[in-house]
Amino acid sequence: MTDGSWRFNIGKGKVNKRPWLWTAGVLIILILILTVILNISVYSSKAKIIEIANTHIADRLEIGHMMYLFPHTVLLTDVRIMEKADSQSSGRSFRIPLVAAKFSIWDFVVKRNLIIRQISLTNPQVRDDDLRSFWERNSRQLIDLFLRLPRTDIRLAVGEALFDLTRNPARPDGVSLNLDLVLKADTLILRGTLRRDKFAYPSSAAGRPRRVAMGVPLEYDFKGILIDDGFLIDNLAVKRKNLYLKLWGSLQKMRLQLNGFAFVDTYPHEEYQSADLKWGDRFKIYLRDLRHASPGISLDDKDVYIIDMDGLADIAFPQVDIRHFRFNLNDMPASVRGKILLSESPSARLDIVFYPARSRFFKMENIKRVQTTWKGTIEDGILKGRGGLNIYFDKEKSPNFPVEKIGGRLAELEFFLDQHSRSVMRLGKGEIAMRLNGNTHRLDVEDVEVSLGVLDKKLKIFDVRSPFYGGSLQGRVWVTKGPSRSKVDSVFTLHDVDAGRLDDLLIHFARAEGRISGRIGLTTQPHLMLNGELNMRDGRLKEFEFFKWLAETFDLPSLREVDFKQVSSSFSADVENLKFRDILLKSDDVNIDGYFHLDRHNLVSSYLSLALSKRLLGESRKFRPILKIFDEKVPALVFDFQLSGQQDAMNFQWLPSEHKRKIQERIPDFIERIIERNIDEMIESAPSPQSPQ
Amino acid sequence: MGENRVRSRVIGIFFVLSFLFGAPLEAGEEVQLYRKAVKAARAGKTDFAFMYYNAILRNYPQSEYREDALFALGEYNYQLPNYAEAARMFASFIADYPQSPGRLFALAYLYKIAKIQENQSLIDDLKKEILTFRQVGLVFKEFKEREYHSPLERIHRAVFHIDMVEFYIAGDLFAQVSYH
Repeated sequence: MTDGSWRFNIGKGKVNKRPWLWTAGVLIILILILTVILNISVYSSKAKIIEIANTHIADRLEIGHMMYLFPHTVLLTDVRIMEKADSQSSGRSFRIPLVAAKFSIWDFVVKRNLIIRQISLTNPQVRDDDLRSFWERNSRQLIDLFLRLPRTDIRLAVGEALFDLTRNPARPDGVSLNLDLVLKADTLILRGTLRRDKFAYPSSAAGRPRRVAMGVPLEYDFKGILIDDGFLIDNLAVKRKNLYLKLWGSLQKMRLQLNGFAFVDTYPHEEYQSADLKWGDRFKIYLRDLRHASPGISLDDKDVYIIDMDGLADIAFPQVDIRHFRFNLNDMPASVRGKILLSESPSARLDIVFYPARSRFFKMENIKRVQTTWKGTIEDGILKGRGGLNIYFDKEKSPNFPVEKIGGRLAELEFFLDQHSRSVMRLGKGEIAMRLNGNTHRLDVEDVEVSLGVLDKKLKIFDVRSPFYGGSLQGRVWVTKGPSRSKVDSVFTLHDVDAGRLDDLLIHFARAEGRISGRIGLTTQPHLMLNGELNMRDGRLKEFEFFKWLAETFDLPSLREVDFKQVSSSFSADVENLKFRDILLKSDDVNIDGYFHLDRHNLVSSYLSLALSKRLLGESRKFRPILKIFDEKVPALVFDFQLSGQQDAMNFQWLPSEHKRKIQERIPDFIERIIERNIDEMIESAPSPQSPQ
Repeated sequence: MGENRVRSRVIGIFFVLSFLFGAPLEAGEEVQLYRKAVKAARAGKTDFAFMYYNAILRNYPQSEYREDALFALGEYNYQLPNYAEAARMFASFIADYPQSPGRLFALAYLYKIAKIQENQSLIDDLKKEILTFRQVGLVFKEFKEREYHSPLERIHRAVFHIDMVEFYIAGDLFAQVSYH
């Protein structure tokens, strides 16, 4: 009995194990059969799928292999999209090594419908200009197809897509994209990263460039709601270490409406992470970033704030017509209008206006409006174009500030966008006009080159070089980021400039011939200030205002044109004062030294020592009697003057000196009184700028 | 009856005379007030002079003596001191009589009042107006002068140097306005 029971028990144990094995085996066989059947089906449908796809796009689709993976995935390998005119793959192409499409088993089995739920693209690669031309050719069809497709939930994932931006074969360049797009009912969600990586060619001569370092990623997050003729933009956020941008609005009937704000750090320090890190190091970096990550935005290192954005644009790809784009830039209202063309060589025509006076923080409250127009294109990493700039000043805010308007026209302007290029800007031709106290002063420049010397977290240095009116102009500008605003310091040197060509700049002041050299410095803090020294040698002064007055008043025609050996002066100017110090004029017949100050009320404070040769004074009948007082050993008479009062009606005093004392000794008192009376009559008969006395 | 007729004639003549000579009688009062003011000022009785000038200003706003009355009231109020009223008088004086020989000295009073009130922007404006009041050329002299006899009979003198203007009243330095 025992043996039977035992045998029965053994038989029972064998019977218990077999169903599971049998079931698993059957399942595996069924799966294999199903896989084989579906792979055959997929293989035979490949041509039809390609044919259908090619009817919906302007380009040509090619698929290497198609394969079914249990339970709900179809893999496509070596997918290419090419222009129909190109038959070879070496032409323009969009290459995707691996595409995985997942479908709904439920719909497939129960409803007999093949509905794709998820598409994943792995490592697609394309050149940026190929992508642009693909979009130009296919955008309309793709958008139409998208709008005609039945609304089903779908997900599109793109992993490590590479946009090849290489321009110079010796320097490979590219941007990596990760994207996760989810369409659920009417809601569209798009998230991912963009990353500028570093590439290098491997040591072997042949071979594709490989990624050697990964840049700081730019994260984007978009949520939209599909509506008729477009979609609502519930949220579009772009975030990176040096940038935070948030937008919302709508795109309807190709009219884009956007609101938002942005914070930018314009002094970024780019960081790269080696692409060859081991897993252990990557994990450590991940933990470090988790510890330091904060949910909010860091504003401490941001120096540009763009808020209250309000934009409206019409899109007819590739053209974008900006009807208006208003925003607040660091508390300064601004607006932009114009057109942008997103073709192979992007171009734009923009009108930009700033209103500094409406800013609470902008120090120069009399700058009413800054208006600039720009027309240009981007070619080979260079922004080229021409533009105009006008700065309008409010006389009511600062009646003593003499400048009314500064205008400029800039032609053949180039900005170099290549980070490897030292030059940042070249200006072929510029005309600048400044309206000052009712007069227009013009300055022409040509072939100005600006290069970026040093880039640091808080400091930028620009070097400027340019030919300048027959001589040269060189300068250096330091821009230092401060706690509240940036500080600008600059030094420019002039060398051998032809003063005779500066008539349009120095109108109503002097007609000068000669070569000018000097130094001009400009600083913005603690307040705007200009200073420097100027030196002119071996030249001529014609119609100089002060000499003209002396020539007319005292009958000294030689003073209308004075040949000099040297004219020099140091100067400083700010909104409070204009000062000329160490004034020096050396010539055969006239020597001058002294200082001349003008304050913000246009009041003069000056001392000038004027030495006139006897030969010059002998031209005038008024001086001949005085000359007889001095013997031949005295080659010139020195007149020391102090000046004060209004610039166009100055008070003057002939200061005591040895020469004055000698003259006074020889002149009777009544002659002195006559001279004083004549001077008073001369002053009173001159047209007075002052109202009545 | 005859007496009544005579009485009526007298009354009628009286009314006619009043009508004909009423205005000149009022004008005469204005001149009288002015003469009294001048006389009181010369006698050093500034309080009485102030009363008469004030009466002219109050009762005869279109008077030919309004110019003197305004300056006198400004001068008197400054001495009290009632700077607000003095400033009001001098401001009216300058606005209504820009050609007056007393204008420069009215500016000096206003400058002093602005300094007392520490009104820096007004100080700057008045300083500029005083310093540019007239252009001076000093060849052999160190300064030029201008004198003004005020309605209260005080001698006001302005001395123009190359770098400042000094004001004296009755020989005492009253104000100094300098370029620096």
